[in-house]
Amino acid sequence: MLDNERILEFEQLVSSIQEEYEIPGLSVALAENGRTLYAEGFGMRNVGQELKATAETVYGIGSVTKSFTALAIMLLADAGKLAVGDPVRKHLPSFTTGCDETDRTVTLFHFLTHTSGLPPTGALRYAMVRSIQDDPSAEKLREDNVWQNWIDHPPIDSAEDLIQYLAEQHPRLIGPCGSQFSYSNDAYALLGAVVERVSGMPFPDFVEEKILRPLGMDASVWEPTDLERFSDVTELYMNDGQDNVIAAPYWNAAPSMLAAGFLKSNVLDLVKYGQVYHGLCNTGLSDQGLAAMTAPQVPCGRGNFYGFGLMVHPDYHGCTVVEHGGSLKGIAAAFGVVPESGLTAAVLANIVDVPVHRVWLAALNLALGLPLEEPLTREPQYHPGSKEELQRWVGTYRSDEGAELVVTLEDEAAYLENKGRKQCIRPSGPGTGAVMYRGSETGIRFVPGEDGQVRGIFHGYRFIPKV
Amino acid sequence: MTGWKEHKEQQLDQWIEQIRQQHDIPGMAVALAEQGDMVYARGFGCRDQEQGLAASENTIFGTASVTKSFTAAAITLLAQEGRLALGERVRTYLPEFTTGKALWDRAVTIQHFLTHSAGLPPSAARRYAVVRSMTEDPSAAVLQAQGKWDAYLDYPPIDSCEDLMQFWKDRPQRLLGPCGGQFSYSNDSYALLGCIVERVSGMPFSAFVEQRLLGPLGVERSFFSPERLGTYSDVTQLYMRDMEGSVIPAPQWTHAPAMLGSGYLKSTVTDLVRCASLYLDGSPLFNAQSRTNMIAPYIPCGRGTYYGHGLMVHPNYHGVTVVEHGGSQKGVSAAFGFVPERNVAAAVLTNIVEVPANRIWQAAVNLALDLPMEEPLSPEPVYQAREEELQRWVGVYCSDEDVSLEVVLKDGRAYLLTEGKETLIRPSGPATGAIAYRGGETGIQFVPGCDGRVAAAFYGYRLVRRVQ
Repeated sequence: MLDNERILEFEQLVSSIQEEYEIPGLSVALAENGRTLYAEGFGMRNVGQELKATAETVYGIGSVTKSFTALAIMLLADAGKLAVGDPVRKHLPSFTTGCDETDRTVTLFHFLTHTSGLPPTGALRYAMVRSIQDDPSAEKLREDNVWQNWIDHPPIDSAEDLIQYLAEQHPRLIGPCGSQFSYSNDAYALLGAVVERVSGMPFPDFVEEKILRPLGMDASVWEPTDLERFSDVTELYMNDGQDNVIAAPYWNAAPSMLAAGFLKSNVLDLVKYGQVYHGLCNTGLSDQGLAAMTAPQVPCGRGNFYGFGLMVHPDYHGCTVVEHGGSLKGIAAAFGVVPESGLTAAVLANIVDVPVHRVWLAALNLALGLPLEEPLTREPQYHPGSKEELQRWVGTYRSDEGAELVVTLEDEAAYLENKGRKQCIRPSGPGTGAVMYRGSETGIRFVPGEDGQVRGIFHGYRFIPKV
Repeated sequence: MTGWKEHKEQQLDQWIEQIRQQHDIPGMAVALAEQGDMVYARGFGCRDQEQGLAASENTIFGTASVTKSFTAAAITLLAQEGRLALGERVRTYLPEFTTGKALWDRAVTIQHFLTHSAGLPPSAARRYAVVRSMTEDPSAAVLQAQGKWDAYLDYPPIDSCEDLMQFWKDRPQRLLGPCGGQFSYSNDSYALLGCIVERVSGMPFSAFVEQRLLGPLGVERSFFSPERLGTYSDVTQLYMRDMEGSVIPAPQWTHAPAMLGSGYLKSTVTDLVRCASLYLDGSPLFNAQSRTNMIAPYIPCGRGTYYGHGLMVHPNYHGVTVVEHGGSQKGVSAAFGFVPERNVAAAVLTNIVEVPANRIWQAAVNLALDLPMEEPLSPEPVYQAREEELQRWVGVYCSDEDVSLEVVLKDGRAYLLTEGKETLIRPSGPATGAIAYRGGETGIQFVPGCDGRVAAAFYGYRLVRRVQ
């Protein structure tokens, strides 16, 4: 049972975040051992029609989809149809990065843990482009002069197209397989293709039959057209760049990259799904598969690790926190569990780049009896010994995915400019700093190359090379 | 011995004998199987020089770290039987093991131990675990003369898994980084995997390996206990080099009851080659999934080289995968491995340390693959380094194990000083070099820290911290 006063405190926090970040609508659910402790909507699922968000409102879940993809792979492993150590090429023979060694080395394990060495690429833009042409978001991209980046390559409509794109691109790999974590939507999209080839079923059908249906996730669907079945579906919103929140009604769709982030669901379904990671739900996932998915396989942040499609914080006040977020136009999502306490929480919102993760963590903190704003990790304090330490960070960092970060030095302090926003980097170690990201402090790391010079920045879970 | 073309046999015989003499190896044995048929198996030199007894393909030698592949196989068998999972936390089975760092203790998994990526630094534990088996041996006298013996005695002997875990409590070490972040070879990790096998199976580790892995293969000359050596004929004597470099017998078998999982199996080359069937098609114990997962190239550990589970994987050797592991210990240089696509398996065992068993192994495999015999596994490229680049490498590097390296610059060239020897570092990249080693070359990599300066050297598969 939750304390009523604490619930009130939580709701005040959610409302203040909602107001500050102009979130039209969001929904929250919290469950313990399968029993719902709290489920509520805040604000509007549709502002124009004045329809309230509820716990049943269906939203996009973005990259929370990746845990479904990883689960699908593990179910196939349990069925003996593939092995996590399988070379990717065993299932996708035409996959190539242009680097012979990586092509021969890369395994499903590397894809699952984002350690294949694939850098952030532009594939997702070309996979989604058809779905956004008529959306206001395309207009904003044109205004920002980045629309060209969406149409300078033919649309990526299938796994074959995606493989072809990577073959043409010869992306500059970050390092050998297994050496470094860098979040890769492409890798997860290709895992979806592996599921298709191995199961002989379309990826969305496999997930529906083996995961959604057995768990009774009746409000979870893949296709925007499937949403017509539901009455309580959110409208999508975006910021028009002049600080106005406007409707952006076209759902991003990427038939070739479904597995990277295109499931739609509601918070009640997601807490049902959480039972999988408490080992309680009958998808047939083995203990082996569960342990592998929720193991802190590779580091991806301070005190933070990646398992398979899930992030793992092994030591949050003596508990393990297993979670994943999601972001796409009109979508901000956070989902996760605390295995030791039987807790599951989910937060979904209808606009991107807002701190749903903070709301989500506050919900867990509510149940764990911790201060609501207790952060998952804290970047330490550090005083650089000399100006040269910061001087090393200065430069422009750019990825094909669209990230462009500029680090400058002014009055002995380092600044990070990202998407027109400039903020001070608080140094937290000789090569690390802290910046505000979606409403909470997050770590960045400057990655040295062989020559000792900074060769890239690790930011937003991605390696972004210095140019 | 049929089917293997006679010219290959002769070529290999001659080449091995030449290497044996060149490196002053008292005795050794080599075996190779194709499609499960032993096509080459013989001994060279003497298993006992003093008594003039020839080494044979059935001579029992130490295998040292080749044992790690069996430790990993034991863990895999338990996983296949559903008795443990590789993603499980180590603390599930070894709750008393701690590094003094709560995050690490809560994060480390069996998979991290299997891939040497737990972040454990090279530790001194092995010295205290083997010390009891060395006191009577000439090797102790040599260490004494070198002033190194005290480092074996400044902590009580480590006699059990519990002692090993107590050692980590008593001597907390600075970890190399977060779990899963970096490869650094760790004997302690494999010793602790042995403990996990014991706790999960309820059997002594040696009994589990002997009964569950070796038994079904029908190999009869492979075991852990030194006491059993007396019950076999055709067992090798062990040799070492004295201070003057002369080969002398060093008869006491190095043994570490607390660290069996890291390297104390005794075996023969023919037994080892039969054991390769565990990893190959038609394995009597492992399903396809387990086999694949044991030899997946999880994490880089050298140029073109990755670590699987107790095995090194070279995914791109002339279009095939080479899977192998070596072993080194007083009186032992060992090499074992296979080429899954071709169903080729080979083993080399010798009775003295620091000789190129790996090169001999490679030569045999190369012949089977119809490649030039001396074709190297992962050659270091040629690179013209600028002096500023070399200057960055200069420093002293140390680990608690027994590694101490110094890099110096003389006349614009970099040299590695270790064990009283000075060797040229041939630059192979801005932060990598190649060093002449046992008649071949081995790589060294200088790893930058977050401030951009070289923070460690990756050498001998270990991350050795820079101290100056």
